[in-house]
Amino acid sequence: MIYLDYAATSGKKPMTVYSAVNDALINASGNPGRSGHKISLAAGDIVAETRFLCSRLFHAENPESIIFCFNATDALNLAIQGSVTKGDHIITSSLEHNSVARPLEHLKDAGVEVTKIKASLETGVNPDDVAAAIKENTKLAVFTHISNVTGTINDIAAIGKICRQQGILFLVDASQSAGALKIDVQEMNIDMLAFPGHKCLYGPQGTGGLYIKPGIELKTLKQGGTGSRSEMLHQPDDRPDKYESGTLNVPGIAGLGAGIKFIIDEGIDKIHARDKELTDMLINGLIKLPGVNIYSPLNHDRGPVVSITIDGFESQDVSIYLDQVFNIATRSGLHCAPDAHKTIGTLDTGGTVRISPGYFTDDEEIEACIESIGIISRGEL
Amino acid sequence: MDNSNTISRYVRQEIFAGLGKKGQEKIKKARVAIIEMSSIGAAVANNLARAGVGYIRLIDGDYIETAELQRQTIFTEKEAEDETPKAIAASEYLRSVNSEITIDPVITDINSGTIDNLIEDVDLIVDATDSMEVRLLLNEACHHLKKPWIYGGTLASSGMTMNILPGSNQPCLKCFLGEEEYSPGEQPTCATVGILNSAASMVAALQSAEVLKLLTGSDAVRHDLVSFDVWENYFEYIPVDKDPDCPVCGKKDYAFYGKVTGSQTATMCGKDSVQVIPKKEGEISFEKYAEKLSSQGTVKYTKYTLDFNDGNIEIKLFKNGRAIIKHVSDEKRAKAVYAEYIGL
Repeated sequence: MIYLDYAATSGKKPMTVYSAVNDALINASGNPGRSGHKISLAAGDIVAETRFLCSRLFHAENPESIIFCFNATDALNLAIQGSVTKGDHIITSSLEHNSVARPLEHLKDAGVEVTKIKASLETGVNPDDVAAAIKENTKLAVFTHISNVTGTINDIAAIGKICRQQGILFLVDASQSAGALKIDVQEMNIDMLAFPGHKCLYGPQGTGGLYIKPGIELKTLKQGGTGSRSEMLHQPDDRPDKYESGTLNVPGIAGLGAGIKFIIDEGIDKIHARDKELTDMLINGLIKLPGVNIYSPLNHDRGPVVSITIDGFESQDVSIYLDQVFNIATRSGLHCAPDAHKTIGTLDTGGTVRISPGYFTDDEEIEACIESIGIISRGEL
Repeated sequence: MDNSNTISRYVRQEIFAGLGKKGQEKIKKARVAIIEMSSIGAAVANNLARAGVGYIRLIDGDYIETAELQRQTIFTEKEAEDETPKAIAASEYLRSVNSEITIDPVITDINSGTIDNLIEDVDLIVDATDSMEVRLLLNEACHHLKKPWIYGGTLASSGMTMNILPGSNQPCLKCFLGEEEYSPGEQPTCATVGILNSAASMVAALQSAEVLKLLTGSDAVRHDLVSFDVWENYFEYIPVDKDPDCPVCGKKDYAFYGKVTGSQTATMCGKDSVQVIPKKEGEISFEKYAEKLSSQGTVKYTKYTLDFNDGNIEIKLFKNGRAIIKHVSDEKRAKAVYAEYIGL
């Protein structure tokens, strides 16, 4: 199988990730931060180590500013719903995934105002448009770093600067960028960063996290056992306990730690350069095929995501051909981001075929993908 | 407005040949971090604020206690009674001393996860910690980030200080210490051997002078380690050579920096207690340790555990160095108690 669906989940991971999960299950199946015996402490060490690695990867102020969540959606919900109340105004873009768009829609029903800025396929959101959208009651700006449909990169540093100057909370959805692009939360003026563990960080599914800048207090969406201050009936205020009720996914977090270690050791610039090489190769091959339309930045840097449509074909059918005939895994449809398809004009035509390579993809796999799409587009099947 | 007629508050420093007006300008632009508001750290902070260092970050995770007032020069009985965090109390006092400079108090545990953010944007770091573990971490972090720092420590009537400077031919603290490593309970601490305020003030004075030299690029910067004892009457300059095989500055093989390997804490569910797990576990001789602590409070021990209680601090110590610090819910505070009584 040629796996080109990394934007959904990294289908191949470093071997160290598998062994870390296994080791954690065998040697550290205690409850972290609860019992204080050796196996509990071993589990606690795993959690502490991964928290530490996350904080280093994103250059957070301290490890306690990293909160473990089930995935990016979970993290985004905590960040969005935990920071705004009725009457507040939120700024976002037309490139967002439903993990942002749906919580915002839900809040709109509860009396929160939302402004959606139209983004460009090549360069994303224009930071000037963000500045212009700010109102008296603007509380939060939330933008994706890399579009999961087109690979478009938003200028997070420029938007962050504006938000910081205006005193607005800035939340970044790093679902496609954590592990793929350099992120420095302090330099980029990011207040909150939501990241999944199972995509470019190579962790297992069911892992992810939210960076919350020290000093920011969010409402908790869940309350419960933390292993600390158990005599108090109210949720403790200390981080990370305040936001981490319930037993954590220790084996998953062990795998996430191994994935991040791999990224730190390889170097994120090297990973991004390789991703760019792969998408360049893909685009340069696809652009020559008549009837194939590309929906990804051609003249600007991009994330490891390329979307296409083929004239005369339903996107869904193309992905099925690729899977059934050519043994190539891609994804087609709306990719949980209807606004993004409205932006690029593919909403009513059933979305796009998304081809998303990863660091473990080799050149031959890209060549095989181009060739297969050529066969489909020429109607040779 | 013409300020030429206004006498600078730093006039006595400006007419000092070693600094001059140019030196004073450099001091004003400089950023310094002080690691812990101990007897040494608070005294250094006091000197630097008065000398006009433009930005001073005061880092400490603990609060003031009455038994510290004997050697602390800027804290009060009221602050000890209120258990005011040391960084906050120091910042309030120093702002009233010099309103022209920026005082940045930070209440935090100092560990491999927090160290970068505490020191990467300053020009110089002053070490005033009583934890050897924090000091070894600082040595590695400063080597990695190429930051100059000033080691300073005191115990009983003695003290030591040394400038640790970046550069491939410069020795680091580990070059001086060698492989020597204490196990929990072996390390003398101010709770077991005491401390004189004069020794702490002496270290602070020596460090404060070196800060001004380093910030102004003076060629009078001291290269030797100073070791003294105000009771035993000696004051020595000890040259320290760079060790080409030093694990830190020779091989960059860090034991603390970039790793989660320092001492850990675990809160005890349902109790107002924190378990401290030292990085290096050992075998503590309860007999010897009980003798050291017996003047401080009640000490009882069995084959497995030693209980110490002075009416305020209560510690249950296990043979391997793990300890439960009771009546404490804050992990930073638990580590501070451990460092003071057992040694970190």
